[in-house]
Amino acid sequence: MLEKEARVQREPGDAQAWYELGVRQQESEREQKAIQALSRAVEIDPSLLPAWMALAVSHCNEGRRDAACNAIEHWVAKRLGRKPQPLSSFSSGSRAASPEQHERLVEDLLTIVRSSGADTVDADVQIALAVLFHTTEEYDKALDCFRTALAVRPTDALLYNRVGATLANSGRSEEALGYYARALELAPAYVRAEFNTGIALINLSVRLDLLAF
Amino acid sequence: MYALTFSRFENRFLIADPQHFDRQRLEDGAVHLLNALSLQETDSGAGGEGPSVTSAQMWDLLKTCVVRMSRMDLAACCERHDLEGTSSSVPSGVASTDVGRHCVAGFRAAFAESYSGETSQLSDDQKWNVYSDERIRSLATDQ
Repeated sequence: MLEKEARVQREPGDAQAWYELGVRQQESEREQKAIQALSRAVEIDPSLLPAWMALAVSHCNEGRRDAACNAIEHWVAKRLGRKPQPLSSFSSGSRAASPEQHERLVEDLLTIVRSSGADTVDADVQIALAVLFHTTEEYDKALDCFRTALAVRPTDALLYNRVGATLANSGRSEEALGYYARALELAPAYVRAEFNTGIALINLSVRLDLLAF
Repeated sequence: MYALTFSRFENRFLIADPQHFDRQRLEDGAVHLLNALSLQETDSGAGGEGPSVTSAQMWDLLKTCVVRMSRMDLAACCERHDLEGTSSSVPSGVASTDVGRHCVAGFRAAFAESYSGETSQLSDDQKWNVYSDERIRSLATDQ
């Protein structure tokens, strides 16, 4: 973290450096700092697609559905080579995007999927779809998309953690543990995956068979 | 909407009685929380930022775990967000970056003592008196 902070101080105009700092902040449970760093990254270089995606994830974590959708809109626009469409209701508040806006974004992403060919899985598109489904609380669909992305990115610790958290938040903590464990194998200092493992184990420590309701 | 990358904590943990826990899983969970807090502190560096909101919640959760293990001494350390204080076995001269590792070992040793019965345990009634229901309810409200 310190190294990445030092780098943005040395090179404050380096969007990639801000992006890497933002991701590191995410991993270390500093979401607000992550949003600041990632916002700076896309401000410097709006074509830095991974930064838009990471920003969408951070906004999701903060419960800002509209801001998450706005980041996805920028990501989609860059991928399709068009200008981001004005999304008037999107702001930094917590209102959800309208169903029409959400549907349009999903359709845009499916257009990219179709253009990629039947045999090709674009992990980034699957992640974008997962984030969008997450904002509408369609967790099963989000899980499918994350797992599809994982199939082509089997060494992505962040993805393993996302699958785990989505499972855990759907009441499937036991299944989540394996994904967290893999995330920690790949990235032993991954703070968020450590926290998630702890929470999953603590949730599972309650013996439901003994608990009288 | 749940956080995308962060597990939610289930409130049933807070309403369960001590005999309803799988203590091995509780111990393992607490150690992972401690690992995460240690990593986070190490990552921030000596002149780093203050604790994040998440870490404050995790300290509360860790404290709840150790209370359920009748370890009020460790709960007091959690109250202070005191990684160094959680292990009296940290030798002097240990580099600050290694303190977290030693604390984890200290927690593990403390839990092991609890299992073997070498440490006197408070009764359930005493435990619940010390860690009041009001405090637990406030933690649930924070979720």
